[in-house]
Amino acid sequence: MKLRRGETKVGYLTGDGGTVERGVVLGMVQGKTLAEGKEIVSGYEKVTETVWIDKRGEPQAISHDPSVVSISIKPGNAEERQRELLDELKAGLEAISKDDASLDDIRRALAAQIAYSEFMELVND
Amino acid sequence: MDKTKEIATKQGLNRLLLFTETGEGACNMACQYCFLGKAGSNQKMTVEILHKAIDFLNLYAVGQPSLHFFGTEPLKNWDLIVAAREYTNMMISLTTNGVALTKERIDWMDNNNVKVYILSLDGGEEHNANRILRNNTPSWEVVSKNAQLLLQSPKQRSWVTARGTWSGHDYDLVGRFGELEGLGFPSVQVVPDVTGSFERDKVKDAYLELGEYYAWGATPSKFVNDMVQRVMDEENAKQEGNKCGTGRGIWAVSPDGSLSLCQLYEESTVGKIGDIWNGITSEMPFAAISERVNTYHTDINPYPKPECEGCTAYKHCQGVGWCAGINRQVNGDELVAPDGYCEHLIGMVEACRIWADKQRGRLPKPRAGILGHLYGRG
Ligand code: SF4
Repeated sequence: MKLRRGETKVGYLTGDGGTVERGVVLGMVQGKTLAEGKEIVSGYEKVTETVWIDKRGEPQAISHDPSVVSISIKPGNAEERQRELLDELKAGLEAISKDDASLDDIRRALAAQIAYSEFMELVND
Repeated sequence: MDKTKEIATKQGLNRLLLFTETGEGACNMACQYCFLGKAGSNQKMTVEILHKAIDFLNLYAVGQPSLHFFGTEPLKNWDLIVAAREYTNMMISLTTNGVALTKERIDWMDNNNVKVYILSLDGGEEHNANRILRNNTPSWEVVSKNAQLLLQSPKQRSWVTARGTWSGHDYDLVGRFGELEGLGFPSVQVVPDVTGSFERDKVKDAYLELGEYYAWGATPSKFVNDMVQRVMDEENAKQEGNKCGTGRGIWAVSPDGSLSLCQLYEESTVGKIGDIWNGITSEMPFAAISERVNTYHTDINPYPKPECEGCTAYKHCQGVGWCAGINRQVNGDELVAPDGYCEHLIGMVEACRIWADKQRGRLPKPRAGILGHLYGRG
């Protein structure tokens, strides 16, 4: 799944990999001398933080480097999941092809079809 | 874009495989191993439905459209072949058992660009044992005579392949090739009937005898030549996978105008995808069958049978390549090849490794793709 670029903001990276918002750092240096301010800021790395979102708008990744131009992610266990969904789809198709197929069989087959196409949409997006 | 166009484009539809007659009495033969049940009421395609099928193909085909008369025995409904040519100038071909071939029909096909691509016949005694006429009499005499008539046409001779079916009770491959080549066929395929049983060691011996017969060179069978070529450079050979392609490129049309993924699903509802009036009305088989078989021997489905792990023929295994529908008929699952398939393939691959060694020792390094032209029968 290819992610879309979401909101971009300036932030400050802490030594342990966390980020502090620009406003917080500003608050910390306000009223301080230039030397004190420099000292405080030297403990952080100024970065441009980009949030990467999926097609539903949900954040899926964050990058801190402007050279990142695109991010693609693969769902965990994609192969196994695809195999399971295809097996369910196949079982659904076999069930609804029988003369005595029940409404429940039809419901299950349709659910399998929807689950498979949603998954593939996610993978191929 | 309309849904049918979208699917036809995605699947690369370019050919319809026509069943002009189905059900009881649809064929003039009653071969032991036929994959069609030919049960139930007899149905014949009408000229109107044939025309509609051609219109459908013209509307949805990607690239050059073509018609292939396939089932159950196309020559039984000769009038429909003539009607198709009167209606369209697209490429027309057919598969036949040869019983109803005549000189007049061959001349007409020559003059009207209708090609006999496959003539099914087994050769000699095996032929008479398996390929019997509906009245229970052997068919070799009539079919071999008609085959020779066909081969007198230089045009038909240039594209026809003799397709023999090989079942595991007879391991005389040399005899089978000899019979079919003896009739004058330049191209011969002897295809194992994998629904029955095979024993790998006997298969191996049969292919080794064949190799000796052809002096470890090329045979008239592309199927065999290709395997020898693959194992000549086994390390660099690409992993085989699904070559079946059900649903891809070619859809089957029944006499009532319904559409199936391919010929193997013509008699079952599982692979029905729509009809020539309404187009694709059921998309499910394209994913549940076609896409699923595409996962064969990939990371998604590396070992459809437990025996696949560590199998000596793994790299060359097409598993569903021969026929997903046959796999389903035998094992209820398109991905699970019958044991007869595995035994045959393993025996064949083992023999082809020896064959390739002999060839390497006998000849300068072949150039890929032209082995058949370089090395004739020794
Ligand atoms: S020959 Fe049979 S066991 Fe071997 S890889 Fe193919 S399907 Fe699996």
